[in-house]
Amino acid sequence: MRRLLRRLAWLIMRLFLILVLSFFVLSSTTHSQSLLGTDFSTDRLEATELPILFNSHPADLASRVNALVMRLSRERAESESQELMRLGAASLPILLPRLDALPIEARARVAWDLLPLAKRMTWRGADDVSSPAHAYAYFVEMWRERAVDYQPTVVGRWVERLAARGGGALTQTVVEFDTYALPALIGALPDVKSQTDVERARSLLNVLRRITGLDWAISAQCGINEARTTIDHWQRWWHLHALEFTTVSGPSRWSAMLTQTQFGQWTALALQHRFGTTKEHRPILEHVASAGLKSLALLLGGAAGAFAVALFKRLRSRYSHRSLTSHFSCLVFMSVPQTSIVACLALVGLNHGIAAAVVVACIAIAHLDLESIHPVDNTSALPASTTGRDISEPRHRQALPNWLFAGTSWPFILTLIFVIEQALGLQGLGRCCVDAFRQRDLHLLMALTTVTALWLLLLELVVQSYHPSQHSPIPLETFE
Amino acid sequence: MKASRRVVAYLAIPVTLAASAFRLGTKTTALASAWLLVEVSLALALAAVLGIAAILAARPKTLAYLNQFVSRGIELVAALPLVLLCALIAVSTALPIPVAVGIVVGVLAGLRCIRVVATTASPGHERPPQGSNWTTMRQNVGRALRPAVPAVVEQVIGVEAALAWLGLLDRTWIGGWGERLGRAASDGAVTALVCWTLSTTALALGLKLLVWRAPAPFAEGTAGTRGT
Repeated sequence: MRRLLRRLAWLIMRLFLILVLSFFVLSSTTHSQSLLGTDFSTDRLEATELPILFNSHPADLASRVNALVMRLSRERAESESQELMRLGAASLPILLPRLDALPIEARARVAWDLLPLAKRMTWRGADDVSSPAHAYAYFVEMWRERAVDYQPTVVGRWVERLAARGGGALTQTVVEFDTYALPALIGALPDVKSQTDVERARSLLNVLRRITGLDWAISAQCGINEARTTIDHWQRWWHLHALEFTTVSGPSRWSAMLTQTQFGQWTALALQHRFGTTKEHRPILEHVASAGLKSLALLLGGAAGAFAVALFKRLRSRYSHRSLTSHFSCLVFMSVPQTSIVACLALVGLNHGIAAAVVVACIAIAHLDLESIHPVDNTSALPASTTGRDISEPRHRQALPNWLFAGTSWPFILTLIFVIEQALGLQGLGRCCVDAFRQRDLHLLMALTTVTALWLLLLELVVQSYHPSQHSPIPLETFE
Repeated sequence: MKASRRVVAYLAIPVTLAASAFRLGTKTTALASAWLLVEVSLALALAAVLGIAAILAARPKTLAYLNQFVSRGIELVAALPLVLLCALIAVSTALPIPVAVGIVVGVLAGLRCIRVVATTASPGHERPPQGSNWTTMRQNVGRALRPAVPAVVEQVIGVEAALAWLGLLDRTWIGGWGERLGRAASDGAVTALVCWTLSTTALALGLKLLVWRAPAPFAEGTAGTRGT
């Protein structure tokens, strides 16, 4: 038991390492550099500007506001004003106390730029402000009145009431808190199970849309599934952007160095949102599971067929002597490329679903396997100790690695499966992989990598359990 | 008839078959052959470099580490599907696709080469002379690599054909024989498919016949290493 646990722990660690390195390669290739700057409405990792693996300075709300104040004290810029508007009321508890430290012209200018925010929050008197100097006085006055309400517990209570009862008045109250209410609003989104939950979600989403300007709504005739999808979309967006509207301190700041990275965000996405969605908004887990099952059927079906052929060949070679001409004809057959064999089988009309594909996989993998049991295979000349085989093992155990990988290496057999899928028009992992790469879909590519890496490691675990005497974690013939 | 004569007689068949590619145009075939040569040379060079590094590092104390290095290396290479890995290398480094294929296949061949070195250097096995001088080392690597040449050629052709057939990248790229084979399969061009199949079969057959008599102790790792 302890041994099994140790193996599992080691397996998870290796899976993690593989995923980290794969993510590094994939994110570098799929990163999309937008000419219009960062897209704050995105829920895609390809469009974020986060570091890949380590974030030495995670930018939370406080650091963003501080940087904005510094820049605004020097000069006025449109982009800074837009950023302030985007951060909304969440920035006010940090920003307004800092305005005192700015020169009079600068703080008046900032307050003037913030005026549209006051209008968005429907603060009374915002329409009557007519000059920058008046704007600053207005904000000071309004903040003195309302600062005490800007507490997470207070906002949380209003949001709870809104979720429970709905209604225009409660909506208006929550809108006044603007982005300060975002954590409470996202946290209150229900796990939709009934039409009542849909209505509850609708009232919360209306406020979210109004505050953020993002247009992910649920329609009037919305079903439970549509509501779930929309809520999932909002939650994924919040995962990626939460730190822009909240402040971290203490241990959270240290953990943010890892979580506020592309890989950290992807891990959270994979664990909490089942790998997220594709660029075409299809749930990745369902997409990959359906494709993966077909590929797995091909892999196992093909390997089983190849194993039967291998056993037959072994038995035959024990009881019959083969001439040089027979060897040569076998050598000729072995030299035919797999691509041609698959193409020929596809051309003759074997293109009717998974059963035909398994037959093609059997033939192709058996063909691939012939070489490992052919007399020109020089491994037979090696002592058993060097091939990693224990000669005292039963014959079926000796043959097991051949069955698992059909005597060839995992990467090549996976490529062969992809080719078979392509030839027979099967929507397996190969098609998935091609589509994901063409669209530079990091989420889907990482999900595929996770699946293939898991297969690889689990197969290795099975081989290991059948060959406990192996010094190396991977038997020689597994990959060779 | 002596075995050597038989081999020569048999070699005549691949040579005849290989000529089939030239029916598709001398220039096309020459270009594809040049790319194939580049890919295979790159792959073998990489494998040789890794093999030499393994020979230099192979000591009784380091054998376990070498085995671990190979296992983990294969895990890392194999985690991403090979075709995807080649496409990623080509896109991120702006290298031609055949070069990316050569690199990937070369790394895998090199890892096998390291495994062979680690196995033959293990206690109880008759060890080849260690790399005390350059000639011995070269011979050792040569003996380890020579039997792997047909497998490397087949892998290069197989991976390239898969890349061309799956259509991961635009159709604008050109490559070696594998690319022609994959494109013929993808387009359903029967004549081209037959010609390139005959040629690749002939090439693989010829190489296998040439290394038939390769020294046994270093030939491990060639089994079942064919491409697709």
